[in-house]
Amino acid sequence: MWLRAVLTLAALVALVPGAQATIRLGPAQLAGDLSAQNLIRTRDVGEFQFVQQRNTLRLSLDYDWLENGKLMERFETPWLQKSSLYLLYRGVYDSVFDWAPGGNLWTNQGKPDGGKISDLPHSTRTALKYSNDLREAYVDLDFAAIPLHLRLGKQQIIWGETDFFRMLDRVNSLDLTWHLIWETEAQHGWDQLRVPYWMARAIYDLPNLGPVTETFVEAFWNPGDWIPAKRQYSPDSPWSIPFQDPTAGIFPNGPQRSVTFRQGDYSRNPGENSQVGVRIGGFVGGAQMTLNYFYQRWAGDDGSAAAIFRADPDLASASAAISAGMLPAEYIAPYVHTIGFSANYFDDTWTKAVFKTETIYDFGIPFANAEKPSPVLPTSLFGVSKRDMWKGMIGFDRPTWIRPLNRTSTWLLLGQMFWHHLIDNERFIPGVQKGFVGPSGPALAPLRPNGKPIDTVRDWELLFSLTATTFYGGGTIVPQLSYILDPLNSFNMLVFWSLDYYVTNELIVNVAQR
Amino acid sequence: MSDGGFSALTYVQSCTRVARVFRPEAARVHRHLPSGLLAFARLAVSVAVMALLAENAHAQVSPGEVIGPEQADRVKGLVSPGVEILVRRGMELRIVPYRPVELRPSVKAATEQYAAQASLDANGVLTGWVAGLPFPRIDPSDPQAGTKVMYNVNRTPNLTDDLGLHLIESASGTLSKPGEEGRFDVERHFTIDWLRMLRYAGRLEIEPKPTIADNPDGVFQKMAQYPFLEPFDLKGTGLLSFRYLDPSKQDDTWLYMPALRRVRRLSSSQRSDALFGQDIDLDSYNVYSGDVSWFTWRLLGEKQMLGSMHGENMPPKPCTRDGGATFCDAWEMRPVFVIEGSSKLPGYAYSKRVLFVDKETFLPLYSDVYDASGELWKTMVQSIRVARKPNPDAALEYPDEMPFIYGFAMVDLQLLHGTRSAIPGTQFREEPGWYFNMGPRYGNDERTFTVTALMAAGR
Repeated sequence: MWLRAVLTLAALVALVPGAQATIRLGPAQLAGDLSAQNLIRTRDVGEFQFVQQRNTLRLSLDYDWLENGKLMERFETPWLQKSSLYLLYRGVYDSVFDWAPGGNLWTNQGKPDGGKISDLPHSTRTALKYSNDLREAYVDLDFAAIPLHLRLGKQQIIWGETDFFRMLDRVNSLDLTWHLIWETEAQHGWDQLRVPYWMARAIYDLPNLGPVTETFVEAFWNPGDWIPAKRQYSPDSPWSIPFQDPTAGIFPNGPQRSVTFRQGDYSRNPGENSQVGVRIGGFVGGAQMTLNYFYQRWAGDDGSAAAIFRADPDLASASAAISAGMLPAEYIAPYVHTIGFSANYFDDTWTKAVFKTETIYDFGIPFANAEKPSPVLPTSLFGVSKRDMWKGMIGFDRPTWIRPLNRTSTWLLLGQMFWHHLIDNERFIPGVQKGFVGPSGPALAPLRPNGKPIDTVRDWELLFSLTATTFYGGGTIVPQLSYILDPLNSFNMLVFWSLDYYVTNELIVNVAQR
Repeated sequence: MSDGGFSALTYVQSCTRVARVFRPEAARVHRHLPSGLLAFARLAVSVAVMALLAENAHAQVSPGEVIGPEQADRVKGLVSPGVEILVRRGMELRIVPYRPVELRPSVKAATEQYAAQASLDANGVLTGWVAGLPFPRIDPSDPQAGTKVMYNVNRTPNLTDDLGLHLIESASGTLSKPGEEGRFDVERHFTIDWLRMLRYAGRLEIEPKPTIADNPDGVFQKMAQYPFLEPFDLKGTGLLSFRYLDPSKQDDTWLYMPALRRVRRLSSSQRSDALFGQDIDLDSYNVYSGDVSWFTWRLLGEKQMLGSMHGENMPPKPCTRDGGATFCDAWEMRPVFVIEGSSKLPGYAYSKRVLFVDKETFLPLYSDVYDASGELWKTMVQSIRVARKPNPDAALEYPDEMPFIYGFAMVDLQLLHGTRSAIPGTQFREEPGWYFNMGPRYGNDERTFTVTALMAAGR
């Protein structure tokens, strides 16, 4: 649904000059880059808002301390073949919080009531303008006698086949305060938006099983270091989805027993907050397939119109919460079982394309149910009911010669179709308190100026995406054009293009518009 | 066309294109000529170049000489048209005496043992090959001679079991225009930690020999190229590719992209597509690395030509006069097969490749590739040294002399853009760079060539 929110924006322009360098010291390698990104939001001709001036420094250290069974080229390690250390730091300075431009920001409702950066207290702006993160820090271990690989530490784990959207890619939730996928710098994507967790990951190569080769089993365990998708309300991250805080000024102390977009009613320890997943994969008849299973808390970042609050059904405690300036509901992130399947196949005979598919079945996602009204805010806040969802994608990649446009390189065409299907939906009926509503639906609708729900839950959601990219000038100019269509929601569509110009290794300029 | 035809019509056509590359104004005029006039113009230029060729038919060079742009006319016919352009642009050839190169004993023995079993079927596909050179004797009058030479190249006597290339360094950039001072403005600089290959057939040195029996997918060779160490935006990138014994099966290829943080299956249908938009494509590795059966090959002739087989500069020395777009080293007269290949695959980027293959080692010395309209497009030159030590400054030493392609340059003569590579990179002076037949000791075993290994190595 947040795609729809993005679609309401008019256009954004990004300019990203970046510089990079690499130093190698024996088995260690220190590398880094510095990038500056400027985002201008233009809602209409002649109207624009400067929403981001972000300066990002990334530094990485690779240290291959154990190779060919020898630690630091000296000490024999008979049970270990290879090991390395990897660290990745990301530091950010958002100068827009120092500059503090005035003017009301537009919201995802298309209204100029998203607040002003200049209205933020100085202390808040100071806290927002810097970010220092050890993004990744892990040790890789490859064993000598058994085909086992371990990665231990803060990391990202990505499964699945989709581009730009998330289904099997759900181990790490998203930091949507960073910025949106369409505004990531050149050569970056979800990797900048995912929240890395401290996890253990194991990959074990299995022997060939009859005609199935390349067989493996992979598993991960996140021992309590999990948080849901991060979001902020406007104007705290003006480049992000410009949500207004519907509780601001009314419930200044937030929801009960939880922190919105941060933590539900649980502790961050292995007993209450572990995540696990396992998949097996193999290659047979030219197709590569995986079977996947997850047991995780619901991150709420895959576009499902799931509930984020559950109304307190108890009149006494709900009334007490209101008296205490708290929303009589809790932020929820329940555990969900998910099974999934992915496959890809290269058809070298007829289409010369790679076909790919991915599908998951989520058990028990929470939806706001109008039949479970809050005892104190019965028309605006609801309890939840859990339902299963089936989601999937089929797509293709095809390098294609379009010689009138490019004589020297192919265009890579990438097409995808996505679906979400809610099993046993409860339809919202206007005027009757019945049915499922979206996270920004009437659960908080009376707090909106127009008092109308905007988001009821459909049985089916569909989305199509098509992307084309190529290289010019010996790889120095890389254009990309993308089109996304949501045929069920008023044929909303998004068109965006970007152009990367590699002036040198040290300087990359990116221009984009959407 | 007879074999002698190479030195007449084919070469004339090539030289015509060379002239057009050097005279863009003339090329533009050509494009505006009606077809009849165009044919006449081509004929006229051909006659002129034939005259020039005849004049240079006796061109010779002598050891001790250095051939640069001023002496470029002297190497006409001794190098390919594309290499001649590179010489005119500033690549200098230091001429040294010819030194014969012998195949290593294990290859000779396998060739004697198995060559009689190898043959081409009706479709020109190799059958019965076990190990060694499939066709040690090439009969120029054999209509399949070109295909046989290419199978000798492909079942290369140099790579038999496995190979690890360590710390490959490439620079890619823009060349100066003809007439300007030689310049190579580097835009992108790449370092790849390892490029490894593992053969499942034709193995001579490491058990199991001569084949790896547990091979249900029918793989001929696996290639793993990871991780990229720089540039930073591609750091951690990796590539894995399987080549099958069944030539009707296209390669399977996987790419790990750091921006995606996952392995992605690639379509390998466009192997002539420029890799990462650079000048080189997958099929142009080692001049031609596609399957032999994907092309129609023709032996255009055999002749003595110049080639860089005993390079002396380690690391390779970028030429100063062309700004460093190519490497300058020792060149010698070599016996060469000239092979022309045209792709059977639809949509192939090039109309043909002309390869100049050393007759003693079956290593391609250089090649010219032509665009769809038959214009000379790119030239690739390999700098080879034959020695027991891949790097005189490194400890690693082989029992027999081995060939090491320690540098190569691919130049797009139309776009004036080039990529040069050094193996090992010029900054790694004590690195051997070339690890032949090491097996698991240096990670050249089956565990390295899996999708999971690519996933595990990803950053």
